[in-house]
Amino acid sequence: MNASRPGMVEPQILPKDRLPELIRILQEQGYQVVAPVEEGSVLAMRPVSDAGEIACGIEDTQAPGHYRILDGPAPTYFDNVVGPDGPKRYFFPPHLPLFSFSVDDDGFVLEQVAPEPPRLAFLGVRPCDLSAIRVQDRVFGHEDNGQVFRCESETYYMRAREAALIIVVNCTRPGGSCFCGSWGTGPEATEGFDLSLTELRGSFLVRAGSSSGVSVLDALSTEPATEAERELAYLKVLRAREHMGRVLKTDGLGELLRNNPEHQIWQEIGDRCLGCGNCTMVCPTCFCSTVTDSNDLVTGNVTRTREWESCFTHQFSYVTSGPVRASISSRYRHWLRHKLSGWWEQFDMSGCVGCGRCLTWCPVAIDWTQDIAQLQREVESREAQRVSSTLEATS
Amino acid sequence: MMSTPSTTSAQETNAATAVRPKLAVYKFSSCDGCQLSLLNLEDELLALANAVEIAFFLEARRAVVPPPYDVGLVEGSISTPEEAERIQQVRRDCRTLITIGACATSGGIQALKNWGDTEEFVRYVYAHPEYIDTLDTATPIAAHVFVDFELRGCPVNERQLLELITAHLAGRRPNIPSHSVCIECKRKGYPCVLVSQAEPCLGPVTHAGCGALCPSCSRACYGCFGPMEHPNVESLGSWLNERQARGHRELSHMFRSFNGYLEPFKQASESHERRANQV
Amino acid sequence: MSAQVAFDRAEPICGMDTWMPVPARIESIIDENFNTHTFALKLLDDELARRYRWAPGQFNMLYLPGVGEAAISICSDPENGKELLHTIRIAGSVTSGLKKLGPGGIVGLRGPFGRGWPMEEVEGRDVVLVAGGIGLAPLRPVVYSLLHHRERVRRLVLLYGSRSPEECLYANEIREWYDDPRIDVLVTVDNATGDWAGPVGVVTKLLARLKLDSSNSVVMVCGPRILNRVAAWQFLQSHVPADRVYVSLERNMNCGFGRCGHCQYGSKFVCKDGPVFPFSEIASIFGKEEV
Repeated sequence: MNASRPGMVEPQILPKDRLPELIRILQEQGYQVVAPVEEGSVLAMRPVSDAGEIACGIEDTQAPGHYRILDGPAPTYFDNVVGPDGPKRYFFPPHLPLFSFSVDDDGFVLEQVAPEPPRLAFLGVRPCDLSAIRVQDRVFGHEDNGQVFRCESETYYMRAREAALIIVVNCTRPGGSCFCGSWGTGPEATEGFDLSLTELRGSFLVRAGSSSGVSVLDALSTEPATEAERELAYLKVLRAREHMGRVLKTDGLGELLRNNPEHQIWQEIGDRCLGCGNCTMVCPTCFCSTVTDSNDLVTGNVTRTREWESCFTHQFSYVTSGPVRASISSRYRHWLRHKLSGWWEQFDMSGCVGCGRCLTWCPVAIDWTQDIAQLQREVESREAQRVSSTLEATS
Repeated sequence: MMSTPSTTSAQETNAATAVRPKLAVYKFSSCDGCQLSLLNLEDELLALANAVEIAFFLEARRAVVPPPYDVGLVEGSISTPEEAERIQQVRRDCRTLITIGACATSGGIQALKNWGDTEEFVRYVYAHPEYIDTLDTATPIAAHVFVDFELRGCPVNERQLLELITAHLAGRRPNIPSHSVCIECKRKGYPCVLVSQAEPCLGPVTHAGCGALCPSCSRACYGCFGPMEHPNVESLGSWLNERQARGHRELSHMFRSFNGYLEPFKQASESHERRANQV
Repeated sequence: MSAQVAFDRAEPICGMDTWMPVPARIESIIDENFNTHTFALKLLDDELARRYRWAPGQFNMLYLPGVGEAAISICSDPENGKELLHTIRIAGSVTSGLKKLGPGGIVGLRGPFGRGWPMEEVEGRDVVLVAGGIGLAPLRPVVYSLLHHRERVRRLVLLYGSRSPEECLYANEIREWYDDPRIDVLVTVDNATGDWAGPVGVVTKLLARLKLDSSNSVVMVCGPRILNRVAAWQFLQSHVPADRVYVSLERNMNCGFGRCGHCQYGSKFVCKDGPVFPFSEIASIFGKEEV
């Protein structure tokens, strides 16, 4: 994406009944459209061929360990938040055959290479997921500008990313597990998108964030938004900001986790944690993977396949002498410390974007934001005590 | 120590030129479903028969090649005195012994009798109890002989069975992870039936391998692959009890099915049974 | 981060894809002991072989086609461009498969990966190398390099602990070094078998025999986890600065370049940020269980 003149374009108004037109234009530009659809009991980002497939009139309720979708009162598209599946799987597929080859005396003969990623237009990416994409961009070296080793760049990821068009939707109705407000990753996206939508009553307020976005807008030939419409969009996002499902105090979080690896909260979480890995599978920033070999019985060819991996599995940290992290509590601690603390040192950013998926999809409703809040209170009161006793001693 | 390229033969995976490893398939107390999984590999069966010599497989082939065998696949539990003896000979006949399916790895559904009175069952079920020669327990193969690898499932997943044999031929550790069903389920992008439908899903404590078959049909996992690595059955049980109002009796039954006799499902079912009886 | 310390690192070579190893042939296999062998490899592509550079302490992902990979440190003489040696202990299916493949077999190679030993830091200082078991392998290139340029350092000491005299790696070389006045070698064994007349016990016991100029020493440790811990702590206790005690760590690398997450250690990727770390970089997590 190269933002050439998006700033020049005034926010536009796209009436909802012109959504099919938007889809058609994207398709004409060579994109396959991926949008939220109702899939069984959840909303999921899936390829759609026309606007009618996009979930409409669906609300969701979310809390740790709890997710339901229900028919909402109004024919709105985005009165809900993220489902279990975001755009991650399209850039970083859960199961990706990298290549197949055969072995002969002169070395390896390549038989098949990884598939070329499709050209996707994502309609309805949430601001938290957009932030997560930017996190993975850094993890997979997308933003490194050739500063990394050549073989470190994840070619599939980079190609998929470069081919993609992202239409973000600002959240106007936050969910019960959401805390993007605490990270500043939502409810409104300010950069990194091609187009952004804010859902109004009968229309969307559309902003362009890149030249690709501008070209879509040009093709749509929309009307500029009125002052009242812009004000309404602003207020809807403001209301979302004020009704965030939960709050995480992010100040000093990295240091807090660094300094308390042996606190009892880890044992308490470990007693409840199932070690099932759901949190890592739904997390939009988790990037762990394993590459394994498989063999074709007939041809003898070898295929190397990359799969999503979870740091909650036994095999994940396995060395000859056994797993480095044998206990479930140590795995949870590893995961959360990485997200909130280690990530800053590795990538100079937070590994958590506040989408709340790890809370919602935890089968036993572990809400680490509460545990962290407890830890913060304890450390604060300990500090207050220390200060007051020092004051007493000196007075 | 240099060798010329022309002498390289170790990497020739073409099975036809090499001596094919001998494969034996045994049946103990079971329903034959796991052996059938092997025959269900229709697309690969020919390649498989080309890669290994099917030396002993009564369900598929009348001819028997005498032991020893390179790989023995064992289906079924040890439920009779005759089986307890026969498994010893099977172990001696096979270089690598692999159990396939819930019966062979956990005792199977017939291990439910381990909690009851066998004599009483026999008296009620059979017109002529004197014809019945059975042990008081149905036990997994590993309770009797050393087992090299246990393949889970009721029945086993045929892709996993193929992977197991292929990996064995290639000399690598089979890619058969022991983590939860959830990881497979999420990779495939199925909606979580526990969180989004309040179904009592055992996926978070169950060994992967089925490809999240039940959740793919909006059904709760009922644990037919048995416990995963380090399952926290206590936590899931308490959660289902307290938050989904599943009674201890029901929970005891949930854990005590195909793999009920395998720790830690055994422990969980007994613990919930005790609590059910206390109420 | 001690940015001024120049760790040795060479750029990895690779094939057409991140995960595509380049083919190499096993030239020879030397038995070190009953389950440890040194593999001499030769890259099949002459151009790559010519360009191939590595630094002491770095490792390669050695690949047995169709089976998998193992992270193995390079243990040859860094100045002998013709030789590419890896000492491998047979532990899993990859390592045993490599052995079975034998000389002439085709394997794959990706690398070199990681940050090696601080070969600049040693200048004008005493250098103490502490190795246990197969941990000697990644330190052997350091010995070679410093013997080539002996004038760069003051004392050069190697402390090596082996389970038994028979399991001692590179026995012939160690004997040579024993007689070499340029290097002090102390070997200890856990089990004194045969006609062993040297020290018996854990390698850290040897530290007491060292008359260390703590303020002016560089220490490099590589061995089992427990040796790394005890050795590092003992050197710190004898006032070697924390940023001059270096430890090489073992984790289960899968990718080798900080993408797959397997080898994470606190906020470090052992494959990329390590495997060699100065104690000062990992002080807050070193020795903590299950980090």
